[in-house]
Amino acid sequence: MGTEYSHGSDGHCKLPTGFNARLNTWSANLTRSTTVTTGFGASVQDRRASKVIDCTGSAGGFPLYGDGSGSTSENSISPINHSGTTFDDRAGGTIILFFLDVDNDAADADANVDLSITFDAVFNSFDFGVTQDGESTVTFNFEMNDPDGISTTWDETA
Amino acid sequence: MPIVAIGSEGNVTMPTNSSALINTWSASISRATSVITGFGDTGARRLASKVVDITGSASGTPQYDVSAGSAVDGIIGNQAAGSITLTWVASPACTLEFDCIMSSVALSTSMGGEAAVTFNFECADENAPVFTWEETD
Repeated sequence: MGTEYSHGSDGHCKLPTGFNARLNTWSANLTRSTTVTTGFGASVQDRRASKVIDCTGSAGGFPLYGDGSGSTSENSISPINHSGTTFDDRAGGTIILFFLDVDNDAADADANVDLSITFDAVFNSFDFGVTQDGESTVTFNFEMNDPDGISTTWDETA
Repeated sequence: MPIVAIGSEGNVTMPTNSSALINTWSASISRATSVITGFGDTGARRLASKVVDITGSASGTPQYDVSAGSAVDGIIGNQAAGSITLTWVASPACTLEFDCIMSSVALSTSMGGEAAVTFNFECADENAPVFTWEETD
């Protein structure tokens, strides 16, 4: 079929249990530390890259809440994982960032056709904003916590 | 279906002597994290602190009472910590309550424009913040 091009509207983001919102944006930065290994006699910088990859980023959208009519379980809507009235977000969990989520369900079971990166992370902060004549927004800021590195699913069969 | 919160459903209950007609608030809930990556790891490994910090601000319009012995609260704030409740939705309740101190109060008035006040708060609470979220939909 040939090369296709990813568009923002094809994206998705799956956060760990207890971290919920109607998300509409995510960003991430993958980094490796590098060491300059240039020696005497060289005329250009030489470097080596660490085998340890790091990932930090954020996902943003709108908080959700229930109308009180049903019996949805705890942590099914809330923006922060909690036990009763106390935050319980310290452990974080698995994040999947989708460039392409074919069936728009943020499920990883069909990852063979989706384009995504998966890793475990902790959340270092949550930013909220509420404006009377505007929006109520939430931003989840995450940092990688995965000694096994990042798992990437990418269709490259052009 | 869950409902998307919008700004007009929000509110703030401020500590004593920090009063205004508030129309916007923002807050950042954070934990310190430490990198604990070890030899053999191929990805960064981190540990999150159990200590939660909250900083933020609430802004609006100063208010006053023309009568002597005003019942309207002040706007300068107290040195002592007081309770603040940040509300996403008043009913059914989605709120966050904790004690805070006011680190600064920014005031401004522009002739022909608005008079505004911004309260900048920082968590001052040895106990965990009280988090309430309506999740039955």
